[in-house]
Amino acid sequence: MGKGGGGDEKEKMGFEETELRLGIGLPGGVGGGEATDRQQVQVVKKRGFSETIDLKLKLSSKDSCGMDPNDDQKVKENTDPAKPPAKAQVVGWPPVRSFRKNMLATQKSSSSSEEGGNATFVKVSMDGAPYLRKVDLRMYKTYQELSDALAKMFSSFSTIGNCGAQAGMKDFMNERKLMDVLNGSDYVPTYEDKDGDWMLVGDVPWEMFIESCKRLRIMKGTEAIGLAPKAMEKCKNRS
Amino acid sequence: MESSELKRSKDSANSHESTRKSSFPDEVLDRVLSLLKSHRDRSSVSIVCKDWYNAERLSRTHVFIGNCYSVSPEIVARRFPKIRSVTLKGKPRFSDFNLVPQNWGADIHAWLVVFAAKYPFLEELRLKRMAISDKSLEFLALSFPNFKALSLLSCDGFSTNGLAAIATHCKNLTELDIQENGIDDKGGGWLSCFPECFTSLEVLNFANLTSEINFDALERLVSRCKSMRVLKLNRSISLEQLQRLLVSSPQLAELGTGSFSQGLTFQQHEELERSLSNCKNIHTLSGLWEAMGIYLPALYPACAHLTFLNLSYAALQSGELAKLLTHCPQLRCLWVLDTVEDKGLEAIGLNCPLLEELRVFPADPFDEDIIHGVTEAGFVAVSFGCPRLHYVLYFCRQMTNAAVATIVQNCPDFTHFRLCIMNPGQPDYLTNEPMDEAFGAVVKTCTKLQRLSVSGLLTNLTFENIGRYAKNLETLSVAFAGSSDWGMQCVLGGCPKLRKLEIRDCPFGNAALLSGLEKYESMRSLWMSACNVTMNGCRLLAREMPRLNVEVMKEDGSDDSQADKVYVYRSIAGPRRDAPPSVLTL
Repeated sequence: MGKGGGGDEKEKMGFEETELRLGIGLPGGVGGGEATDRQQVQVVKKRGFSETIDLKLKLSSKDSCGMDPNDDQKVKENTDPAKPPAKAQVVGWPPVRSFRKNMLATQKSSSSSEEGGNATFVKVSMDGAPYLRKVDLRMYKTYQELSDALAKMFSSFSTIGNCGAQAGMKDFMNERKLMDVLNGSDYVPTYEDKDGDWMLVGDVPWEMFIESCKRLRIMKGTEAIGLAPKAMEKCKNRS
Repeated sequence: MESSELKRSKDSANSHESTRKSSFPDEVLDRVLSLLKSHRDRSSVSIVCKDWYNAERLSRTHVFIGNCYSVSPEIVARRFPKIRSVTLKGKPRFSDFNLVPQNWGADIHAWLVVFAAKYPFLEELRLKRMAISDKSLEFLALSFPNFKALSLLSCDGFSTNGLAAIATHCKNLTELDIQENGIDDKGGGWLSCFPECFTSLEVLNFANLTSEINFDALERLVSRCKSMRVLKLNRSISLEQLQRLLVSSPQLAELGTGSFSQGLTFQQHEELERSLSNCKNIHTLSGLWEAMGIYLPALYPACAHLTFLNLSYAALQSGELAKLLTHCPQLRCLWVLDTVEDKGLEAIGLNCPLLEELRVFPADPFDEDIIHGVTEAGFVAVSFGCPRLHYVLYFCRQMTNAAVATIVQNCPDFTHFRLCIMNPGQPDYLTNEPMDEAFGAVVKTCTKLQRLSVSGLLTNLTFENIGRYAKNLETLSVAFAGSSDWGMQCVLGGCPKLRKLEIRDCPFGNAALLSGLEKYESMRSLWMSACNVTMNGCRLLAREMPRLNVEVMKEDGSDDSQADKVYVYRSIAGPRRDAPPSVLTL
């Protein structure tokens, strides 16, 4: 999901069609050089339906020598520990049977709900922040309350400043301003729901949200662009 | 060849070897063949000569069909008139991981209709990755009065209503084995459908259903089925209920417990322990859903003779596992979750010298914030303590070439080596090299290797080695690996015994696909998804090889020329007629 660097390649891939539920790009062969790059970009084009992540990002410096300097920048961005890893879930990977996946998921959720009583703790990460936080969603009754709490939680990081975060999140609730917010550099709260999809916060009624939210990520507005069309779609389908 | 000629030539061949002139009377052949169970042996027998072909086909009672579309039910019925037991597999294996569209096919019904007409005495049906509806289950229950054994693994399309039909109508049922299916669980009432006079059940596995069943009905069922040897309960059964069931079935050989986490009084704990120790025949133990460490000691009496322990739904910690294993010296097969971590695996190495099979499943496969689980160290520790290890399935987040080299040095007898480094394309985390050396070591050292799943960052070198050294390899799974067509070409050009090749997200294209033209006829199937194969490549393949079915599934929004998912398999039944619109037959 890194947007910095490698700008040319991104344009070729049709960036406006990106969705966060992504396929994985092919790992470049070691020392594959030009041929591999071409192959990779070709495959990416032919994929069409999703943006592929350049898996070279995951490789060591040994493998990335021979790549252009913009890619090195991408590597740095994606090794930032506070950010969830660039690759989103790949369909059918790791190869664990859906049955087993579901069984373990229900086990986890049932045991955690037993332990926590009526608390619903989810992790919160913020782009640029060096560590994660945890919030109990059941402590809040509205999106506004959550938004205020998050702003306070992360306000200590100089990159944000109180107004930016709060304003961004408040504006976000208002759909008309959505695109403005996303085009700006404000922060946008997103969450991962039960299906594993990344959604914009605020779409669904609060009660439904706390039931389905597994974790929160406060993204830079520019990065959340890919989510907007999907969120709009889900909204449209619901109305 | 005329059969009389054959007989003469057989006789003359025999007389070279012995002084008497031996003929091979049919009765002798039939008797010998009746002892042959393995379908591979039978296949070999059937191609010796026409006589043997006929003798074999008339005496075969069990047929195994690895790909339901490779043959039609009519052809099967024509060749084998006396079948009593059928094993059928349907969808490509990657359907387990949601890579195959829902309505893809592999519906059992057409088969059942033919079987009802041609095999009215059918006794056993074992299905894997087939689609089966409630209507089909009911049809099955009503069409075969002698029906005894139903086993469904990874199937879908049915609900507990279908099970109710089976329970109601199959008066001679001995086996009902429902495993890991996409079943619509509408409630536990199906179990109460077994009639009160019904006593023949030997195998009952409903571990993977979630609804509560009527416990009284179950208790009565278990106590009157005196031959019951396999009982696998679901999570709705409590420890207390388990204890009561054990009292009425001390003869059990395989036990799947229910939930292992309720509060037990000291007395209840004692009673459970005692009931378990009365079950002297238990060799397989599973279930243990949400197992809490404090109750595990109740299992100790059952552990002394245990050969298979399935803890893959019990999130145990290393200490809990270690303690449990000190009681299980006879273990041959162990399945665990990676919550046991490397320390838990070390305990395996220390306590289970007879171990032959180990599977380590990921507790949190999709949560990347968690950096627990097992590493290469755990695997190495097991290999030092368990030299007989020959089957491994290992999910981990880091691995090194050196570790794998050590592992196969300690355990050279691997027949199944399935290593899943969960981050696609990840190199050796210490050296940052590709994992080529690791899998090179595996194929060079493990000459008996039949099944291999590779992962991590791999170049064509891995596939060169596989092609060159893996002489006994039958199944190969590849994901996010390889550098170019050459890799796949090496595999197709080597590996004389290759039967199943499944590939996803690799840079293999038409050149690779088309290099295996003749090979595919000796294989069961080829799967390629998210590779570089085009529609034209597939069309060429289909044109050149008319005895292969070439099927393409397109993704939404992909290029017209791309063949997103390709499934190629040999078939004597021709292209299938039940393909949904999402599947293009070329």
